[in-house]
Amino acid sequence: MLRVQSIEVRYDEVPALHDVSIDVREGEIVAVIGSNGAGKTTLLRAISGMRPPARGEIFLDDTPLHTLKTHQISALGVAHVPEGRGIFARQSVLRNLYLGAFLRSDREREETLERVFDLFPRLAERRNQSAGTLSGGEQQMLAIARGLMARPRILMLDEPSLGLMPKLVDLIFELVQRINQEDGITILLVEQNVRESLEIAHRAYVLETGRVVLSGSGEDLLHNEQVQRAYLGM
Amino acid sequence: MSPELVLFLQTLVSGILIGFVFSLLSVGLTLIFGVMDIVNFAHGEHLMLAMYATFWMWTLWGIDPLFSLPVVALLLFILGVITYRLLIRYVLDAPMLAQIFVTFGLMVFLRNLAQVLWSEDYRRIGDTLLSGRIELFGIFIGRPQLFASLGAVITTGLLYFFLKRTRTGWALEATAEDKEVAGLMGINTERMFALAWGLGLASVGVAGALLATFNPIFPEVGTVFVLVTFVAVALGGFGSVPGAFIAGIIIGIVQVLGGFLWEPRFKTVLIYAIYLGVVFIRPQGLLGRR
Ligand SMILES: Nc1ncnc2c1ncn2[C@@H]1O[C@H](COP(=O)(O)OP(=O)(O)OP(=O)(O)O)[C@@H](O)[C@H]1O
Ligand SMILES: [Mg+2]
Repeated sequence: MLRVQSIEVRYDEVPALHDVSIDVREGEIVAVIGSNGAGKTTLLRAISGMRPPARGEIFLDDTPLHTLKTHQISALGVAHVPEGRGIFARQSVLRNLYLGAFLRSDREREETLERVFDLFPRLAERRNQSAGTLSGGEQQMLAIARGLMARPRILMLDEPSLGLMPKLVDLIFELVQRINQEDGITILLVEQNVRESLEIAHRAYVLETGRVVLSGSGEDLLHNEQVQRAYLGM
Repeated sequence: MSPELVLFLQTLVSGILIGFVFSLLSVGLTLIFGVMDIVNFAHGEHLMLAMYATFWMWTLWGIDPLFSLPVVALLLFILGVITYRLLIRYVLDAPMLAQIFVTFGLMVFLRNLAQVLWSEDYRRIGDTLLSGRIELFGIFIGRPQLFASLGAVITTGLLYFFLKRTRTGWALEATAEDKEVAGLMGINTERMFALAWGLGLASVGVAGALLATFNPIFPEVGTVFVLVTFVAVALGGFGSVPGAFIAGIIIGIVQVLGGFLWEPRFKTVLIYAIYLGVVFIRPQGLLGRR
């Protein structure tokens, strides 16, 4: 469904991604793991049009994304939950969710809202609270929920478990899996929580200094010696 | 009532009335700043253009300001969008100095253009449908002034309603808060920038048409109003629409009361004093963030 073909992304002429190719098929959870500065965020930014690639191509089915603007890519069904959450702190929780459904009709929006509140009951309780006053965990849930409000075909999550306590991390991974299974939404997950990610991912890519160095099923990578040594402390 | 009290009330009322117009002017400026962090230094010159537009429609075609007002607002809206498309768009990611240069240059250009096209003459619109005054409890209120403040309040209210209650208004506010994330929501942020300029200048258009009914019109007329506008925006908190609204009224009152209780020629000093007070005591302004 999503095909990234040999892209190069640069910041001030310095490439952060070299010749990166990844594939995401309909219905999958695909994880991208790698340490700090590997280029994971850059990959998602390239896909959503925030940082268009200098070289290479990106396709959603047969539609080229690399020539489109962010809002157009969003309209095609690609939702990007950015690193650091990017919630609208000055707006209420509900307004944040409504903004997620900006391109949807009122009817679709209300339907999706019901499902989102079912997945994230905490947000329902706090719908009128200003989003900036939510706890870190709640803000992360809001960011994911807002991504869902667009009814995307593919949901891209950038380190959703970052900075959360272990219990919340487990909850987030569980929710990601539910969204994939129950709502049939394809997921591209960027994470540093390697074990949990590989456990729920169908397939995964390992990114190191801007290059894909390994790929395979989540299961295989969990048992890969290189991965175990570098990322699982074994 | 004693004559002093009457005079005091008379002054207070006129301060509040002009304060509402300051509010509208400030809302226009703060809207543009809030959405894209760019200060429109040509704000006063846009006001000048709106006043001339009102004047010429009245002089050439006999159109009363009451009716030319929506036309002027529309013209300024279009001018705002064009200014964005032709000029501002290219300095969005430029250093701040470049941005200042562009709108500052626009200010100089528009002022010179007006001097060349329409000379330095002071122009006035004669009797309009709004001329005359009314008396309320011994206080006289000019009908143009009354209408101006009414029009300003209504326009500000409509703008606020638009921002808070419509989908496009939400998109504008989201763009103001984080344009990158707004793009991820499917919002065409470039269009929102153009809209901010359109609405910002349309507000100035309304204010210009209202002010033209009781103020002289000349190429530098913008400077008369732009100082209070900038101070009101700072006092209200850069980018805050309700803040600019409240600050405009405060400044209107301070200005006339300062002139009344102290000395008329000190009123500009007072406004500067407010500005300095804001900078030192509460740099983020009354309702500002950070
Ligand atoms: N805005 C930027 N300007 C210049 N260089 C950047 C910018 N953003 C990222 N980089 C560089 O690009 C490289 C990849 O960064 P990126 O943020 O994609 O890594 P990451 O894998 O997401 O890291 P982390 O796990 O810390 O979030 C890094 O070397 C980083 O310094
Ligand atoms: Mg990152």
